[in-house]
Amino acid sequence: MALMALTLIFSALIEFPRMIARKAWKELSVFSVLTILGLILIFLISFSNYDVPFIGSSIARLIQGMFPFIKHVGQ
Amino acid sequence: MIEKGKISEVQATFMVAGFIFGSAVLITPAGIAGRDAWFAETLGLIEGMGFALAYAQLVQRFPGKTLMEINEEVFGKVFGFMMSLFFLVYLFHLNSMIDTNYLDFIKLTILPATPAAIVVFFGVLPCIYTAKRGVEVIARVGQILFIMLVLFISVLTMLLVTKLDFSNLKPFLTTPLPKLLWAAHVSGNFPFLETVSFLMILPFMANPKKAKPTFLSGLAIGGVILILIVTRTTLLLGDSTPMYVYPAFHSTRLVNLGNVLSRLEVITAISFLMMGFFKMTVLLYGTSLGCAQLFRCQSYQPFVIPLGILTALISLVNFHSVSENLTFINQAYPLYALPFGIILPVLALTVAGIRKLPRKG
Repeated sequence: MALMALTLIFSALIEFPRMIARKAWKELSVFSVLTILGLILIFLISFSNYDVPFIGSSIARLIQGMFPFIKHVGQ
Repeated sequence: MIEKGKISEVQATFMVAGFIFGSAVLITPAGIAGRDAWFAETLGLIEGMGFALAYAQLVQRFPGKTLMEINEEVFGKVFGFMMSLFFLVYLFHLNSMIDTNYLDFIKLTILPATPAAIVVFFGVLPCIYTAKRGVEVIARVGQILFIMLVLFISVLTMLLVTKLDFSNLKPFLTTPLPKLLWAAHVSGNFPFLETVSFLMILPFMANPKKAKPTFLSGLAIGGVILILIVTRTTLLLGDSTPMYVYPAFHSTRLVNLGNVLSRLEVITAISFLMMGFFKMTVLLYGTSLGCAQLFRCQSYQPFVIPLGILTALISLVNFHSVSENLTFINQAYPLYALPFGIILPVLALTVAGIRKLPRKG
C-alpha cells in the first residue's frame, strides 16, 4: 500500500509541473481528482484492514436478488 | 487527436485474439456445462460473433472515432457524456476484475504467502508502462505474446496427446438445455462481449474500413484456441473438471515424459500471466484514453498511473473469495455486462442509422 501511495505521489510530483507548464488545467484537475481518490482508497483500505464493502460481491448479490432464476441455471 | 499511432490489420487481429484468450482460459466460464463445455463455448463464440458484427459496424460507420466521440456525435453532448461515463466505469471495473482473477490465481497457485497488495502492484506496473507508450507498442507486444502463446500451447498439447481420453466427452449433450444455453451465454459474455473495449482501439487501424474482417478473424482465432483448450481440459480431466478452480492449469500437471519432463504447469502459468498482462494493458489504455477524451484533455498519458493504481486498489476489494468471484462470473456477469456490451453499442448504431450519421460535409 505504501508503494502504491508513493507511486501516486511521485507521479503527481512529475506530472504537475509538466501540466502547469502546458497550461493544461483540465488535465490537471482530472489528474488531481484521480490521485486524491487513489490516496483516499489507500487510506480507507489500509486503516480498515480490508473491512470494506466488496464491490463485485455487492453487485453479484444485487443482481441475484433482482433475477433469482440465475442461481439455478448458473450453478 | 490524442493518439497518433496506427496499427495494421494483422496487429489488430492478434490483439483481438490475445485479448480473448486472457483470463477466460484461466476460469473457463463454460465449465458449468461440464463435459459439454466445448459445445457451450462454441455457441458462445457464435453469440460473440454477433456482438462483434455490431462493434465492427460502428467502427466502419465512424472511421477514426472512438466510442467516446461516437457517443457525443450520436446522443448529443449531455446524454453522450453520460453514456461514455457509464462505459468508462465498466471498462475500469472490468480491468479491476481481470486483475482480481490474476491475483487469486497467483495467490492460490504460485505465491500463497505474498501479500495481495504486492502482487497487484507489481502486476499492474508493466501494464502502466506499456499503456503509457501508446497503441502501437501495445499492438507489437500483443503480436509477440500471441505467437509465444500459440507456441507454448502447441508444445504442451503435443506432450499431452497420449493422455487424451476421448471417452470423457461421452455421453454427449446430457446437460439440461437451460443450463447449456446459460453456459453458452456466460462464455459469450466472458470473454467475447468484453471485446467491446476494442471500440477504443480499432479506430486507430491504418485502414478502418477493414475493421469487420479484422475483428471477426481475431475473434475466430482466439475463440477456436479457447475451444481447443476447453476440449483438451475435458479430455484430460473428464468429470472432475468442474472440481478445479483453474482446470486448464491443473490439466497440464499431467505432463510426465519418463519422469524427466514434468511439472510443466509453470509454462501454462507464464502463458496465462502474459495474456492477462496484455488484456489489462488494453483495458487500462482504453480507460485512460476514454477519460482524456471525455474531459477533452490534450493527452491521456498522465491518467495512466493514477488509473492503474486505482484499478489495483479496486481489485483488492472486489470479492471476499475465489468462490464469490466464480459465482459473479457464472451468475451475475452476463446481466451486469449486458447494458455496456450490447445495449449501448446497438443503441448507438440504431440512433446513428435513424439520424443518418455521420453527416458528410
